[in-house]
Amino acid sequence: MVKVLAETKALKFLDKRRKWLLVGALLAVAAVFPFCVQSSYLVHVANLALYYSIVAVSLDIVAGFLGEISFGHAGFIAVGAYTTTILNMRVLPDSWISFWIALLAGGLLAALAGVVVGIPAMRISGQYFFVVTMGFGEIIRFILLNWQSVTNGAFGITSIPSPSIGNFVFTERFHYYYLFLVILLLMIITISFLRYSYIGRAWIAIREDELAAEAMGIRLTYYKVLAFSISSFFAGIGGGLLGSYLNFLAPSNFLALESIMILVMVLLGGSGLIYGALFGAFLMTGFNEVLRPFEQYRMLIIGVLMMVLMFLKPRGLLGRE
Amino acid sequence: MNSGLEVQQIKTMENKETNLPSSTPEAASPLLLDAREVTIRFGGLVAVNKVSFQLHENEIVGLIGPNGAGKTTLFNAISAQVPLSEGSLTFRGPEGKIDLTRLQAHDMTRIGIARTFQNIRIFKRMTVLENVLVGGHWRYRQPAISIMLGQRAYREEERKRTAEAMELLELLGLARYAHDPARSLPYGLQRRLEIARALATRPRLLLIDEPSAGMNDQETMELVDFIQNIRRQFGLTVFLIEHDMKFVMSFSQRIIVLSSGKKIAEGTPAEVQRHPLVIEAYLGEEMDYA
Repeated sequence: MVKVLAETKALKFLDKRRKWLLVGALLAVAAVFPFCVQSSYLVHVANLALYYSIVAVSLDIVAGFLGEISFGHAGFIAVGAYTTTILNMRVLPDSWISFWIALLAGGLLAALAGVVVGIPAMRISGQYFFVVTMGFGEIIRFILLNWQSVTNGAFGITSIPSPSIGNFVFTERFHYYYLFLVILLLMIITISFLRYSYIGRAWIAIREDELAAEAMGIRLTYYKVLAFSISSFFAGIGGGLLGSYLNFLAPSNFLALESIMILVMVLLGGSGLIYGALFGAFLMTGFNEVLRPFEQYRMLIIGVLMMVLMFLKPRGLLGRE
Repeated sequence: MNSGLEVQQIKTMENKETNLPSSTPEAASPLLLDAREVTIRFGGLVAVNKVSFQLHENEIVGLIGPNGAGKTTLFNAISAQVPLSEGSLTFRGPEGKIDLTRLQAHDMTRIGIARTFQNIRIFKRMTVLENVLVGGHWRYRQPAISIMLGQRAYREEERKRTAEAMELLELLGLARYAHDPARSLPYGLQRRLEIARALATRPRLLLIDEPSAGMNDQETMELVDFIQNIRRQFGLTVFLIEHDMKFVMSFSQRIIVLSSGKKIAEGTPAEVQRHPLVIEAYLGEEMDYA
């Protein structure tokens, strides 16, 4: 018996070591990637993948930990994107620090939107929840389209300035690459801390069994709204970064299809794992780029692939069981 | 790791236990739960009808009755998962009397009431250790921001709770499964885990809903020992629903019998099994307890 235990422990240790080796290798590749590829296009694709990683991992808090399917993520990204950009361009003084303050404000306003939508939406669950979140996403898009004095309507906001730190300006694609990478890593660390804390356990407990979670002293509405607001905060940060990277923002960036796409990334990779959402984001971004020449068939191919994958691996590609 | 807190607590509890006079618990122990004329209606259906009873500290009381008698509904009312239609439920909390009808389900662990469920409701896709840590949820103090920034105060708190949870698992013979997913445990151990999770809330009153459901005689007897041990070690009051007469008669100090929502008898196992109304209610069911 002792021998068996020792062996399994040794195995676990090896597993753990292998895991850290893998993380180390990935980080090393990520650190040198822009210098290894000569093509600026590939760096652009990597930037998109990193952006989608940020928003997909943030959605994983709600979709994976809490187990609620949200169809409104693009709405929160839009709130962050427009808030950051408008504050930075029109409200705050012309200084490099303004962008970062605006970015934080964008995240916080998105989080506030998360609370406002979350309180009524979290009292209901399942199918009603996704109807409410989808409604929210569409409402945000209509506000952006029609509040022309502020958002410039369907034409969108153009020539968004690049962020900078002191005299250093983020102009090149690989500058943004490192910016996105650092923010993604910080976010993953923060979310991992939460996942393995009493807060993360409360979320998972709610997903597993609401009644038992409540009997164990977990305030359901509070923890659901907390998950929703933290998820929205990071989505807002992602949006703020996207606007400055693309130099352009329009309501058409935030269609309901975008929310579905991000949700698909989470489910495809495996929800509730963090690295699942990460993997899904890279995979889907890659798919999108590879299939770009076949534009009219792209969604069809992605749709069929999704159906096959979900049939074969219902918990996602990296999900267990 | 070796905070010794849990062990120390258990020791003092044991002392308390041995100091107790050996007379009936009602005479010696203070009142813990006072239920008066508890009535619960679902639409036109009266699930629980004017049921009054009392639980005293360190008692182990069985709640029996045929299917549909309202046993689980009464449990749900005590744990604030179902509202009372009439009557009162008073609990003697750490700081005086508490009106349970004014509380919500998530307040129960804080005042010292924990429960298990008839159809085991552990968190299946969490590890055994995490399940027990959820039991300690209400005692965490550090805010979300402290966790997100990885602050020392939170790491310290987490370390302490984990050590306590491991000690509890050790005590209940579940430590070797600590890092396994809860769903991988065999059925009998899942029941134990559910009780362990409830114990992690540090309750004074433990409500156990039909622990022998789905178990054979051997497993049931092991569970009897298990429950009696934890009751002694933790100085708990145990209120237990049971369908298996043999099981409940073997270790309850007092038994309350419900039938069609009404309390039809209350007393020692010997008294209850002679009671004509109980015999009538159980007519047709075998009553071959030893």
